[in-house]
Amino acid sequence: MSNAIEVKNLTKDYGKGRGIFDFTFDVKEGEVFGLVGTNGSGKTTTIRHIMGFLKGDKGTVTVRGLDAYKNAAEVKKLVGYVPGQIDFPDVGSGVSFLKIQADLLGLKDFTYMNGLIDRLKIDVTAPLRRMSKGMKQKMALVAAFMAQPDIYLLDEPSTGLDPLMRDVMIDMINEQKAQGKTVFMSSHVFKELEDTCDAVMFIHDGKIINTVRRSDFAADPHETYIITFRNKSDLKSFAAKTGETVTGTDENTLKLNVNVAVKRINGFLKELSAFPIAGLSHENYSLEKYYMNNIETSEVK
Amino acid sequence: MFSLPLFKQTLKANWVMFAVMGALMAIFLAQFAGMEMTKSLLLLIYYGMIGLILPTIYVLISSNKLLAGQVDKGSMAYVLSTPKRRITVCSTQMIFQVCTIIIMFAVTTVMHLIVNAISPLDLAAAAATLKIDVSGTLTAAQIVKMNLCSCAACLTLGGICYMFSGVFNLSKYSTGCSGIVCGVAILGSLFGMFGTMLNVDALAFFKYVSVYSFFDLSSILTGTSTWIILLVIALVLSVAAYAVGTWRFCKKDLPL
Repeated sequence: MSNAIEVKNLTKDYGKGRGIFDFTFDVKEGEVFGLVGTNGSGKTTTIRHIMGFLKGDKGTVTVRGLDAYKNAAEVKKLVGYVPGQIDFPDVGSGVSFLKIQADLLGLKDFTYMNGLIDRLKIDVTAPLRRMSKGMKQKMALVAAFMAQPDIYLLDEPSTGLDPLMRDVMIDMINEQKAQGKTVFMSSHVFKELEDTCDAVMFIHDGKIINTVRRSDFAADPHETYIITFRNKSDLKSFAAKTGETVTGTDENTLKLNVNVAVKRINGFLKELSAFPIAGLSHENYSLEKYYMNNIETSEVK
Repeated sequence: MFSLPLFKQTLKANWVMFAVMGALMAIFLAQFAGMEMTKSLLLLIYYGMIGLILPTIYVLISSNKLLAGQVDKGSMAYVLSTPKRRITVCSTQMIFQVCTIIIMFAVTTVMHLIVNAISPLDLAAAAATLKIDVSGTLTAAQIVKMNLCSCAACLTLGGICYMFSGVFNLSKYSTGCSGIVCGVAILGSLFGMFGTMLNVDALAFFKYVSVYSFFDLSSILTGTSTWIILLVIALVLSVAAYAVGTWRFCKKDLPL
């Protein structure tokens, strides 16, 4: 599969440790790619580079082989964008905004756009200035999706949406994905990433921590168990002995969190049976859990 | 290099301001040129103050909205997420500003020509307020020249404000710098005028800090050629300022 977006050694240094440093990643055609990170970790900066609004200090960004900065106008023919900062041009009502936006895009067929307006329940006749945050976000989604481009760049697209509308947005993304479109989105909401993404990249303080692919996840599933021991020495000796990944130790409550590959669960339980334990519980191994672990370990470093 | 949808969007955002300033200019002009009581003050008050202040206010407010204001707000993201090059955005906004300024002055020119045809202005009395020694009545050619030169000076101001709008990403810097230049332009020309009227040379010197000194009323009325040179300089400066603003906008990082 070819790459829709390629980022190589991209660095943008804003000084004082702010910016993004040596980003290298690919987004494949037809893939939904999630970008997760704390506030100020560089999500928006990354997306602005792909949009050609910023020029990196080092490195290259290409979209289908086109340089994102030099060929910005050609890239925009392929791309639909939801900006992180939502404010509209001073043109009165929602209708006139969408009409001008359609003219700028050269869009002639409004069937899909009108469908989106219905699904998202937008009153487009309302003045833009009077719109609530969620309503503005929905307008931005319509503006990005109405021409059904090949590549979507969505900067925290669910900000301000109510849970029902968030589900509509997830449906919209999945429909476009089913048509072979590529989506690159940043988010804090793990649910929407788990519902849509084929790959999720974790960034923190301007550095890439890890990229998790759904296929890797599915091919080698893991389960997290929390074991409560009867005494500290058992806890320590088991933690030292087990070949599985220990993700948390609490010597006060005598609890140990272990991340076990599903195919080794039997062996793991056999190993554990030699120890007298006070409890064993299971925890869903979610993307969120994975992220929190990653952030905690990188903070410790 | 030109985008009609963007032009329409810019027009929608700016037409009220444009219409109000343009209408005010035409009304004041008609009043000063037409009424017997105020006729002799036409050159002093209209061509020396109102006819400069109103377009300056328009230029100051609209130029920030053309580029910097939209970058600061983030609404420029929508224009630039469509396949429009930055240079197209710049040239469209520039064409908008230049056209509206020219239309403003074209309307007042026509207005003045009509009023002057009906009730011609006696130059001797009117020019005496500015210590210019001429006689006869104001001719159509002089009206066209006066408006041409004040329009050129206003375009220089427009170019400078547009340049700040293109250079800065924040409205506060763009309006701040443009505001200083506009303020100096107006105060400079007012001080200069008072200096000339009251024979205070130190004050008369102030007119040279104002872009409106490219509009040389006495040269036009007395028939020397200085006004042509000033007109050319004003237009060259204007082109240079528009070019700098456009160049910077096309190169800089945009926080959108």
